[in-house]
Amino acid sequence: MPTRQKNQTILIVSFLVTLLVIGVLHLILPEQDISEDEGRRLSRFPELSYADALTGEQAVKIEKWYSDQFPFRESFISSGKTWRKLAYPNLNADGMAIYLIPDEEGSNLPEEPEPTEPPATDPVPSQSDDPDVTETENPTEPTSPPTPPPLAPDEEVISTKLLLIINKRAMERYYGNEDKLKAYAERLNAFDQKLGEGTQLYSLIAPTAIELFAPDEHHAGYSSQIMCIGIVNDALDANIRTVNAYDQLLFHRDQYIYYRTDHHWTGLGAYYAYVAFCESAGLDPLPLEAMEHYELEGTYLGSLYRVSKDEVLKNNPDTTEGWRPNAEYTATAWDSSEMTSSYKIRLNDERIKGGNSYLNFSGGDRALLKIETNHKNGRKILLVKDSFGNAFVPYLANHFEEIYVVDPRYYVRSLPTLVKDNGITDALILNYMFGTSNQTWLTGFDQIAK
Amino acid sequence: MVFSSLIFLYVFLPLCLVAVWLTPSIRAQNAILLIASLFFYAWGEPIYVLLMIFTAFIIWICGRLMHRSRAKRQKKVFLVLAIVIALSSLVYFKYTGFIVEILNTIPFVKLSVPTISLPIGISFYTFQALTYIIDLYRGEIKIQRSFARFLLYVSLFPQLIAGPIVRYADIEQQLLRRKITLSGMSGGIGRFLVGLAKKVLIANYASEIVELCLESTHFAQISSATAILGMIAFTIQIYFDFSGYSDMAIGLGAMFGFHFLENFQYPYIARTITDFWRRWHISLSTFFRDYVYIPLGGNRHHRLRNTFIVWFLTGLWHGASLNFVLWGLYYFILLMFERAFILPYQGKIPRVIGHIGSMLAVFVGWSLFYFTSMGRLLTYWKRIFAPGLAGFLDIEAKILWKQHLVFILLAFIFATPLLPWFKARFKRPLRQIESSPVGGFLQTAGVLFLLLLTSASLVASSYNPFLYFRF
Repeated sequence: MPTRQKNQTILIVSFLVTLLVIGVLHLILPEQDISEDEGRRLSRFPELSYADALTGEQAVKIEKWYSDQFPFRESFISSGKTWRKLAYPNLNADGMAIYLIPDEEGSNLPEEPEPTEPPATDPVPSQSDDPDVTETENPTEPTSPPTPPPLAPDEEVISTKLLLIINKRAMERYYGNEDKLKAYAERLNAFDQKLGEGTQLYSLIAPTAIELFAPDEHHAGYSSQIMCIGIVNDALDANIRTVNAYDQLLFHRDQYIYYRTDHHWTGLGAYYAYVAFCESAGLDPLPLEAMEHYELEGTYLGSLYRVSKDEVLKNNPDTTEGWRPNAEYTATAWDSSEMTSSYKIRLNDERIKGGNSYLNFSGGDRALLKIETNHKNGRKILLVKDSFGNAFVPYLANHFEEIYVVDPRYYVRSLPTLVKDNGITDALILNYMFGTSNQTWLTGFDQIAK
Repeated sequence: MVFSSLIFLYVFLPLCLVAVWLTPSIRAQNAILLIASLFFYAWGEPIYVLLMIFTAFIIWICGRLMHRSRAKRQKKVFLVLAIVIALSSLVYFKYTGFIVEILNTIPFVKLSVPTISLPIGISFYTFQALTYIIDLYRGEIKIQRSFARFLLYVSLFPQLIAGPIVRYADIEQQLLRRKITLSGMSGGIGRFLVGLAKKVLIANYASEIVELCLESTHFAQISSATAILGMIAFTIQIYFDFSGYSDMAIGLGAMFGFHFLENFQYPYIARTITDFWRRWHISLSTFFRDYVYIPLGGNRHHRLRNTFIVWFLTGLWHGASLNFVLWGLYYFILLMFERAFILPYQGKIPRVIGHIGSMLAVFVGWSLFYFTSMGRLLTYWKRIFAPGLAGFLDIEAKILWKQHLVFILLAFIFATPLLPWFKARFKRPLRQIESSPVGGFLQTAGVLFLLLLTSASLVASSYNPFLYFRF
């Protein structure tokens, strides 16, 4: 056979044999259950059903199984990634990267990951010293918060936003919308009218990392959060006191006040916001030294790592520290909107660590958290918040007799009634910059502010 | 099923290859290919596969009845019947929603918009089947007496879903007489993998750039430079996606002994728009030329009207949305303008100007093609000519350009006939290498490298839709 034909035969045979070998290996190699790296369960061969076959859903499921159980899947994935890095370098010489990340409902990042096990909670406060308490012993099983109903988007469907990584820090690009900011202020004004004279309303908007840590050009124009917070503050009624957390955070930006791999502030960042709140509320903030300091074991890779899977972030994980309130307290949590079951929790719970680190301060987002302290000064506060509030909650226990923490995405009852029934004296609305346009939060707030 | 899926590559394809290659008789091969093709289609469209068989059957039976009739008039009746039925099914499944939306713009008309899902590849196979009945009427081909063989032609999986639109006349002979040769198989494998790499390694990545630039939350506030980068990336994406698919189809065909005509001839090196359309989606342009333009009178009667109809239909064929119609009419105007004012002086215009002008026109065309919403299209052009808050070049655009410039330059180089030029230039030495053991080793290594690399990218990403599924 001439060399040319021989060459062609070798090519054809190698191609076909490679396909067949991999195809057969797929059938005979044992299937994998989970992918550690992706933190998810891999698809198994679907149950065949007539209904699925008719809709074509069967094929989709089988293809998912086929790629999830592909032989040497992890090696293929890592060579795919290596190729990507070689062929399409996403990193510039200055270590800057840009990603497009999913934007769920306006501008909220996915919250904490599905915990592999529910966060540890104390069934009974008296047992709280027992480190072996496990969540299975919970008399009232914490139910996971129900998913809020999907909302019709109020503008063209938006699905993604930009994530910048500069100096090993991940930051989301922010774009303000004047109308939405003013509408946010109007909501607070209307709420203040409902609350009446007896309750002082405060507004705190937390800036995000990009405003404090990125070069100016990343937060110019409508990306300037100081300007956008100003738009809200200017539109607020004079009765509502604004909390200038911005300056406190800006002046302490050389400290570890924001996570680098997560979109939240750290316990220390929340502390400076608390100092600013005290200024507005006429309270004396406790110095850090007056509270018990602790550090969580291990490291933390937060939401912005999870959406970008960026190597630089992975190699530079965060750590978590916190300060315990200087007070005796009991904290009761209602997770779901129905509020049929509650359970006791511990603030600043060191057992909640690793991927759930941000949940250590006061747990995750839930309908209601009620904290009763040993202060007897008659001051009671309602905190209406998004996830930035979770790190802020413990500091309030230094000053208030009762603290009601509400997340409008899960709480469904009337806030004015809650305020009236419990004689609440102060109400703080704490949102992060993106939260001012988060449709789920806002719609929830509209429902309960009446 | 799509070609760029693991299950196609590692289950469907090797089984088909082994079965067909081990079968000596063409008739048996045809049976295998028919079953495989119907399975291939039914994988994603379990119900609509019946629609495809039905359409093919109607056209085939009309062909038989036409063949039997003596009178020209009677023949015409069956031709018209076949065309009307095939096109009604296309219009019903593809355009009902669009038509209802248009009717709803009339005052006092309020019809509910039905949701009819589009059967994959209906635009391609309907046109393919039509070439048979029309050419049969014209007496250019012989009657196909076997329905199975006709169905095989309509449903042949390499070109079923996204073209090229293969004319019956072009493979009439091959349905019964074709030969699977070593060079056909090895050349087909190479061609298929090049197409797969175009799709997986270039088009998919370009689509990520498009998304970064044009699909972010702050689309209304992007800088001009970001807007331009986004459309450049789309220009790359659509070419590599679609021509990659045609490469895969031609390569697969060759593996089974079929010979399909080329569908793309390096469109981005065109010097005029007329030239561009001779190089882009050739099987569609020639379809409209031979089955619409010339029957209407071509250049002889009502040339302007005929050209208008062709471009209106070309636009509409690409999707049931106003922007595709505008895209078609945009080319109608450009081509008319070019014919009157540019082609007569073509020799006097420097080549560079011709290339740049054509690319600019194509770029503008893709913006019409990309945005299905008029509002977004207007915002897009506003951001280019009247930069908003972000200005012409903001930090984001700087990062994006810096990140993707090399990829974009490389992609455009791959879009030129550099490789064929190289092959022609060094024909002798290349041929010598090809028939040496080293050359054989290099070719095999190249094929396996591309296969494993595209597989790795496919395993690594779940993102893999074919653009041309919309049609």
